[in-house]
Amino acid sequence: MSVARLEHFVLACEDEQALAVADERRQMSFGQLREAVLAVAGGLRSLGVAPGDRVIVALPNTVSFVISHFAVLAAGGVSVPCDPKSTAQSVAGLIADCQPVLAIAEPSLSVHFAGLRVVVDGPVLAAANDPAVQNCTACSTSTGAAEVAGATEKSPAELGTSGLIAASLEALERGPGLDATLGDDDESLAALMYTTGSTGLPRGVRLSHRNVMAAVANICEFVNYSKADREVVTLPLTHSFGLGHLYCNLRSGGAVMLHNGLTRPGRVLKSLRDFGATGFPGTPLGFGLLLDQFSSVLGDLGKGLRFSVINSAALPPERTEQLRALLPKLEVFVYYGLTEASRTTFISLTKAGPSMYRSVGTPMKGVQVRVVNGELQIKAPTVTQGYWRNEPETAHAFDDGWFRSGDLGRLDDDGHVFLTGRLKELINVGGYKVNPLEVERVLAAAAGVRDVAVAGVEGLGSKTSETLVAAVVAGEGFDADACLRFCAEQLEQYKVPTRVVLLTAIPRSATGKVLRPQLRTAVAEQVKE
Amino acid sequence: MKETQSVNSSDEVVRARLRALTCKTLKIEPSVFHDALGAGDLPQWDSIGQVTLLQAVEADLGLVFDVAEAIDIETFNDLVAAVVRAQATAS
Repeated sequence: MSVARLEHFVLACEDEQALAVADERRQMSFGQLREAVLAVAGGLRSLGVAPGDRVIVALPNTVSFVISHFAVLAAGGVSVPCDPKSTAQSVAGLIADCQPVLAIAEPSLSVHFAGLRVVVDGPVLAAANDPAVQNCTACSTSTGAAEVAGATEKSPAELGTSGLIAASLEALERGPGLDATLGDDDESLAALMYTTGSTGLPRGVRLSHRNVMAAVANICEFVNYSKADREVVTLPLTHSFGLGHLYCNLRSGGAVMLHNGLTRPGRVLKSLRDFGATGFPGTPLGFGLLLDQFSSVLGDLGKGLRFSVINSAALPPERTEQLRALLPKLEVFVYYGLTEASRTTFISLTKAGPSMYRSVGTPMKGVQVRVVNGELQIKAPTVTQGYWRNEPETAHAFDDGWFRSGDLGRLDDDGHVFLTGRLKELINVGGYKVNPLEVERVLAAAAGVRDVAVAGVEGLGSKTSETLVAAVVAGEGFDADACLRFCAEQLEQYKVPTRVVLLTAIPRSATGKVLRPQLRTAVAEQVKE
Repeated sequence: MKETQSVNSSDEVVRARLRALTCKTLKIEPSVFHDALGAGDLPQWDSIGQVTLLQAVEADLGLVFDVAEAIDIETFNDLVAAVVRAQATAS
């Protein structure tokens, strides 16, 4: 199979009958997926999506996400995955930054997309007064807008307060599709993956088809993916970890069963057995939860697993031992990577043995790693070209062509990388990176807060994740529960501190900058008490 | 008939106690809560919240869920049914 771009994983499939992707509602073979992708791509073109245009894909882990993401790419657009649990404020920041022409989202999310056309994954009312909708071939067919709709016109006022619903994804799937011509432009942007920048504001990591293809080829070779593989993916497809596993399976002719996290562990664990899963990627936090609470069930239903790729935080050696004891046939892989430099190093802990349990592996093919003043720096075809229309952040991120990871580490004589700390102030909450500045900005506006800072505390509630704790200098009227509720109204759940401790002063430098190490110490002492 | 009424009455006591415990554990405003809620329906009722809730129920009611049964508890109504079953088994 000749593939130059990511959508070719689907469009150039070799076995049309083979299962490609499934969720709890539906499943699709490669042939069905290709037809759906081409149909939706045609619909997107009709709705005005031109090459290079950004399209937000704000869907949970579903077959619809997979269709939408690849359809955007097939239409020549740039996919902008967005966590469907994002707050309106986060979505607004993302829209302002990437200026998308369209969003694909669940109906309930359309309120976040004021002034933007939205293709919804679910029943909708179409806005028949939108010229683009009228020109949309899929929307004007009998299976399109008229059906999508019950076509009710909306007033300008209504359109201004929520996204203008252009069509349903289902209708687009049934519309006429693009030709399956395989282009070879691998330099163009495939996706903007949003992360939190150094200022706490979102920044779009520019990933070209070539960047991602390089990483995916490396992973497939290292893990030895084949068409016999089937993975149960609970990791969000809106993040590079989860999306990478989708790519790897489709590239190899394997299949993916999608779930939305481990919220309903019974379904996930049963699908390991029922789907015939050979792979089950996850985070240390997720595996910690399964090992601590549902170990016997994981051991029973997961006995067919060939491998697990684990990332997002360091995997404690005792967890590796637990997994290997529970599932002796399982090969445990760990890697180190960032959204900006996907899968930089990789290691099979199973093959490397206990002496390497604290390593994150050796650099992948074509990847160079160096240590400068303790910081890991990376140069590779997998490394981003920079941040979307953000020259200051881009300039700051590179040192003479080497990407500055912000992670502290060391290399041993054999090239194994060991992480030793962090230069950046990000807090790792179960694999989600949280910039304390973003949380502090919200908390500072809560009633009775005179000063505030946020710290990540290890070993509090979870052995494998930091817990967000808000340190508050309280004034009149401060109420901790009300403060956290205020925070929860404006931030995603993982950004909401789980505890509040009261300090008499936040440790700050002469210029007012929070002294993070001192803060962590002060907070840790308070938490112990 | 008497027995059925007794069970239903007991169920309601358990249900009310679990409602309060769920709201307290997951920091859910009682006005937002309804019995059909389940894991994944609210931001705080995520995988960690679910485990925290099950542990809180075990501690509060002095029972231990069977692991094979605990993985299938998805909604508040499932939780009530599981507690009632666990209490019946214990007695």
